[in-house]
Amino acid sequence: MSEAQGMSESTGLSRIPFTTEAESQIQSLSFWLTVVGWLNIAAVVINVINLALPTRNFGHLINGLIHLLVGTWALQAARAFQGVATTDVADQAYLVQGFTKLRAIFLLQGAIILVGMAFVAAVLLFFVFTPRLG
Amino acid sequence: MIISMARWMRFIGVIKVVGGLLTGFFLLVGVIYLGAGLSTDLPALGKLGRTVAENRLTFFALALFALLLTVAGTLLGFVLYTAADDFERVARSDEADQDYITAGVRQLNTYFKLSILLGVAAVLVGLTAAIGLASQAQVQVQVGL
Repeated sequence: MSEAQGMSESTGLSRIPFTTEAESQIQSLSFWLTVVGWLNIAAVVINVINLALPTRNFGHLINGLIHLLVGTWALQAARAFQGVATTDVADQAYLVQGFTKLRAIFLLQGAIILVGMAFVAAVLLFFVFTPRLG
Repeated sequence: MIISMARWMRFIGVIKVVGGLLTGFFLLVGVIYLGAGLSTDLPALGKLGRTVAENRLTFFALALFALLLTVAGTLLGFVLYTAADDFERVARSDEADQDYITAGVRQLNTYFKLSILLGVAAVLVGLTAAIGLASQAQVQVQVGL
């Protein structure tokens, strides 16, 4: 409560007059983000188990880290959107927090895509420009 | 910050749409190749070809399911792109912000809901197929084929 009041005092509208349908949509988004968050946390657990097995590799560590970040941000965004839908103390601040976490998730996914595309391009260039052996 | 989020959403949406179309094309080529080799053991695929030839119906069903997933993935990319448009309008205009936020949130709901459901379905179908093929291979080994 005190955290929300603090947020309200410093960061804008305490109540945004969303319609009932809008609040229901925001609450639904909070639910699905919670599911996404916990699925990613489950993936982290699976990666940790894989790291304990003899078939572990560096990819499991990177994978686990990515899932941990996405899971944490998804749960934080879910909590923020839940705050928008169920309280009237810091709607604008909660919205900003929610969108910040969503942006982080999409930025990470976009960065992974860019790294993957760069890797594929590097491999293709290697096969095109490397003289064939034998 | 909202504009930045919308840009990344738009980028991922475009990648999903283009990736989905390309994947769908290669899947169709694969299905046609499987169908064209109906009476053979698909020698070009080596050991995998024999497995595919012996379980043709299973692999056809898996290919069709993968095609459905690809189409759904392409549509989800479009949904994400549309959500990005709505959020960008929130940031760039001062009219109907609440309506645009609601529209964007509705699209994001659809995106996450379908992503989760499709992901769970893909894992279940993949596990079922793997268990079925593995048990069939086990039976064949025991029978001595």
